[in-house]
Amino acid sequence: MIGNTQGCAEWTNEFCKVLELSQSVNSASIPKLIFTTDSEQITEHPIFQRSGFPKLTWTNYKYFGSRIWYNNHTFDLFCQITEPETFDDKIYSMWAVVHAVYRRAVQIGGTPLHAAISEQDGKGIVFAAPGGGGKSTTSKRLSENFQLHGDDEVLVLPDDSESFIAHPFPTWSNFLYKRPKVSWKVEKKIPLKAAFFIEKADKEEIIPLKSHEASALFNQSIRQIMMRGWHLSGPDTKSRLIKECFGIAVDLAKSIPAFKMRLTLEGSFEDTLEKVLKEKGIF
Amino acid sequence: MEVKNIKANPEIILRDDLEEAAVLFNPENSKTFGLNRTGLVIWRNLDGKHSTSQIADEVTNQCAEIPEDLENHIKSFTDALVENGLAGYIL
Repeated sequence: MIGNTQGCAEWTNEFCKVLELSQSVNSASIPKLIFTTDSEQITEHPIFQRSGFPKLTWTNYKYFGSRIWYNNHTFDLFCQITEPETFDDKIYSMWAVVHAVYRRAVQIGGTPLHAAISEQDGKGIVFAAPGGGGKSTTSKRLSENFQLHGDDEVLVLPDDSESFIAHPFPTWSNFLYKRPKVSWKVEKKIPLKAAFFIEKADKEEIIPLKSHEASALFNQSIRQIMMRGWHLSGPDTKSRLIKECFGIAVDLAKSIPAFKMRLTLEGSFEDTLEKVLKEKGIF
Repeated sequence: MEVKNIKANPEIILRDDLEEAAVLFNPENSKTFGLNRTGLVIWRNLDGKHSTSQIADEVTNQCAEIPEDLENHIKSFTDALVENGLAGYIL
């Protein structure tokens, strides 16, 4: 549930637009994400009083113009936003908030991946690679049999003990580099059925990965997002996060069929992709 | 170097619930290292107390496929673990 103080209304509205949030849900059981300006006294505001502040022990860190407050008992986050001076500052402050959401997701066995996500018949497939590694290009080369939902960051959450769902998250570089502002619906929930780790190559092939290989590649994909903020809360928290992220990488490798996908610039890989997915019983 | 003088790095995380066998993770450098069944048995006995021949006995008892020249295999494997920071010498 997202809320804000009056001083932060404009920033919050823009944040919701970037994430394409449309639903309004109000429930005591849903974690709260509250925005306020950094000039307001959060300890005295009624929202924070109702949420347990100051009875709970809150700690905080500053990241790109946002001071993020969290505690170890609830998943609520309070974010004090410094008035951004530029458009880029505004985007960075949003990125910092999303990073805080990712950190909380890790506590419940979820994680971001540096990946694009496409869907066919309700089944989600991620294409993972570092920046410039071909996530967006690969996704755009797929036919209309696949629907593209996100091309840079995906938040994966456990659905039950053995499956995961994925939510697309913004492509921040689109906003920072003034590209056409394609945004993704963060509320979109897609069952995650397969992962492909992209490698640029001279010859196209798709190779199934063993669990320990998939663990390493999932861990790398998680690390590419999470390492941006590992330093924020001190060495003990950094060490804990690194270990937790690895644990989640292994859980993903155990549950989600994973493949190495070697691609050329112009080859046609979709037929091979669909064949592999059919052989695995995914399509 | 006798394997009895080598001990697994206590900071290394082991996940042995994978289909093929196991994976080691070094949180210091985020590197992973896959282990087959034989490697897992060797790792579990790398406590600075088991000699090479004792570890070879454990492998023989617990593994279906036994590498040729087992004791040399164990020494090469532990050397690789030390080289990758996953194990160290006891002084």
